[in-house]
Amino acid sequence: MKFTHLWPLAFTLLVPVIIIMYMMKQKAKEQKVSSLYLWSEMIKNDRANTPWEKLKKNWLMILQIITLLVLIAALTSPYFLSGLVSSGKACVVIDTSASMNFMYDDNQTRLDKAKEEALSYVRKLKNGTEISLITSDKSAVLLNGKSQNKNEIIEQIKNLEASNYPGDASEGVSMAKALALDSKGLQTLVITDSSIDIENLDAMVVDVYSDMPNVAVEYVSHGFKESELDVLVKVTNFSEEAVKRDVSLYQGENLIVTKEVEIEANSSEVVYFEDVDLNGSVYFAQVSGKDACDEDNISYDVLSDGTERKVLLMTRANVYLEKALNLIPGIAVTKSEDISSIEDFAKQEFDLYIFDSLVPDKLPKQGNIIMFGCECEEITQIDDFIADGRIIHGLESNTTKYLDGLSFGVANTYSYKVPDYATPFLATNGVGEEEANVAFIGEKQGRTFAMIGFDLHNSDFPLYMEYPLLMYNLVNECVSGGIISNYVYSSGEAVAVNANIEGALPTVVKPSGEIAELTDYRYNYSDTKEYGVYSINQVVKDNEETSTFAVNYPISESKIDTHPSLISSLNENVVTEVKGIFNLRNFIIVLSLILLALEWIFSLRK
Amino acid sequence: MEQIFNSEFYEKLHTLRMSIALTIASGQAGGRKSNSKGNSVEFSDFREYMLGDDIRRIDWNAYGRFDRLFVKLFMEEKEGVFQIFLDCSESMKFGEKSKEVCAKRIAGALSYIVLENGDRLFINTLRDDHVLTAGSYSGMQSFIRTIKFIEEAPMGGSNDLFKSVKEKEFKNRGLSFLITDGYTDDLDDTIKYLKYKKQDVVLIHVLSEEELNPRYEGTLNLIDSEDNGDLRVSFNATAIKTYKDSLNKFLTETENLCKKYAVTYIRVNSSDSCDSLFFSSLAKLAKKV
Repeated sequence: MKFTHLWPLAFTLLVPVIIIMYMMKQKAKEQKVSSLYLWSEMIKNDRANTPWEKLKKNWLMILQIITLLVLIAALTSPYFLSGLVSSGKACVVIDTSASMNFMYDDNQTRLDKAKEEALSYVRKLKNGTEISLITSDKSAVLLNGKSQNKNEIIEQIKNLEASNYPGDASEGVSMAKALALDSKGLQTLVITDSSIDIENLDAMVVDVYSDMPNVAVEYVSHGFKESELDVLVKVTNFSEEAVKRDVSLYQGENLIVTKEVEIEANSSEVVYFEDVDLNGSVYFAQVSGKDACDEDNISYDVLSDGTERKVLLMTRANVYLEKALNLIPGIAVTKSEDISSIEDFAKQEFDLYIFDSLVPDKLPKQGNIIMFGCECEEITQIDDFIADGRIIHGLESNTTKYLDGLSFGVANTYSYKVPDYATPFLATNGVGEEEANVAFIGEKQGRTFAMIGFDLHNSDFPLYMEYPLLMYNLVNECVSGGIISNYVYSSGEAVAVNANIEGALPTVVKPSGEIAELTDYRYNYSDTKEYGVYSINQVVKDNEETSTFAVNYPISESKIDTHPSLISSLNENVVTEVKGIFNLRNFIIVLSLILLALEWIFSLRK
Repeated sequence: MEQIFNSEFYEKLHTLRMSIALTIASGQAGGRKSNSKGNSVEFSDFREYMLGDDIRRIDWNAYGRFDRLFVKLFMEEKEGVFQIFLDCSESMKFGEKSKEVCAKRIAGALSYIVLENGDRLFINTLRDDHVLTAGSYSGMQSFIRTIKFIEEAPMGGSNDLFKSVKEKEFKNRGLSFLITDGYTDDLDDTIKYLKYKKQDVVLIHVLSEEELNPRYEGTLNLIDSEDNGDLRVSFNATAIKTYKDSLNKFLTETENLCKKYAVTYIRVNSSDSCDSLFFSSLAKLAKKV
């Protein structure tokens, strides 16, 4: 038997108090008798008995002491360890996703409740049990594996914080399943607020979901209408009752505009703000009122800086190219098949023209040019047309930087004479030992020209992971794009950073002011745990370029409505608190009531 | 205090006609027949003349018929001498139906019987280690005085039974009624002393209901009514049992003592009614004696 609390044992000090009170209570009334002659035997007894012996048959006092001890025992919440973790191997998976920051009741969050249940579970495990602790949100983290040190696990659980990331316990459950393969008999406790599949896992799910009223800003969007900024805010009421709230736009600490909105239960309202006057590029929308989660009451938006580069793609149909271009931030791609109208397009002064197996009669007079599988005398002459299949490999250049070992096959390709101003970056073995350059890039009179000798359709290059990187490098060398492609993210989403390789390594300033230096120019920055406005800075040729993006609460976390108990209400493995541990408190309370009744009967009889 | 000799008492007294066949061996000539042969008008027996016999008592008619000298023997009529010893210590005042009332009524009733038989009566109150004797009373004309003395006899203080009885001077054989609650270690000596003084002894042991069946509870500080000694007792079943064991032992020892010295023993519960007192206790006394 173990005890949840030991502090009530201090109340055992009351036992001597009861005895003393009984001894004091024994103050006698005076009773005159004819003679003490016959009471002489009593005198003998009286002398023989110590004060303690006098008390030994005082049933009322004994009952009271037993009742006190029983009540103390009830306060200590004793329990028996059941066969819950009979194998001696336990695993605790705790969902630490953003939704765990929701209030479970008026006093604690779901994570607090989860920690409480986890602590209760761990404390009740037999000493020597191998315990693994896993947190789970968008990914699982094994905080402690097969530790027999319960105190260490307890400390780790106490220090857990919600990650702000979207997700649930499924990643953790996957990890637990992997652990179970290694640890036969592993019994898992999953604590989450979202539905979870524990098939093929010996697990018990503790559901910490609670239906507390909540209103959230689902998203904020903006648009320009003749240079006027219009803002759209979608507010959703996840409660069972209609609410009336204020929706406000702020820039920093300055309130810009407020509107009141009434939202029906379980429905959304869209609030429009027209002709909003903003001084900067960052603002946020906030819905008033305190509810289950305050974080989702705010949503940031960042106005793009308008430095999008215009790209014209002339192609008949090339999904590979289109996909690759879509991934490149800071460019707006216009696609056309009509090569004859190139002159009309050229009037729009695109920053970059990409010709895919289509060659105009005349090249545009401005802008940068990339050509795929083309013959263009205006740029350079063809060296050869290689019709038999070849392996293409990368040459050392800025374009193939970080693409070591680049190698792919083509069915046929042109090889070019590389102009003086250009640098080859792809080559194949030509006739004999001589290398044939199949791609080059170079700057001439402020314009960048690049030619790639093969059609992507005749190549397996798009199947390689280097393909989008090379495309990015290629386009980036032709047009200088932004560091980031999107400006608004949800917590947990990775921010694709594509910094200028000419400059220094970029740094990220978090909302808290913490600065993180990125280790590469192209980087998936995923530490978007903090909500708020981030900035990415890069020094390029003594100029500091700054991009700003915002990270919002992952709204999917506000929409959880399929919690474990709802989905598996009949499943005995889904509970709302840790069970399987035989808690004696209630039995002891019943026992104390019986004792009190006995005491009452005794006192009546007396 | 309850009136001791009330009308009920007297009514009961008149209906009490007990003939107590007490054997008397000595004393003044009186209305009681003695076993010793003496000078009296009542014929008892014949026996042959012996030298020294009063020749006036020779039955000459018998001599004529049997030619031998016979003397007539006559029953000597003597007066019985009765002592009533009444324990007047403080403990006798105890009881809801107090032992005092009971004891005094018994003394009064015995006085009536004795005086009605024409015997001589002494009333002795025992108090503060001394004896106070009133008497001698004889004849029914002294009954009122007897009753008055008994009624007014003060009760209180402590008393050493043996010490006070020893002060009494006995001149004749007689019968002593000792009315007491017996709470003394000297009861043995007292009875022996009375026996030594040629007294037939009747011990009337008066106890109250509270003493026979105590109903105390809780913890009490018991105070001795005579010497103010105290004893702290927690009453529970065990304590009551211990007391009852002591009481039974005390009663058995007293009865055995009485048997040993051929003392008539009568136990009276002070809460018994007058009827019970007169027609059970005293009638029992009459049969026994």
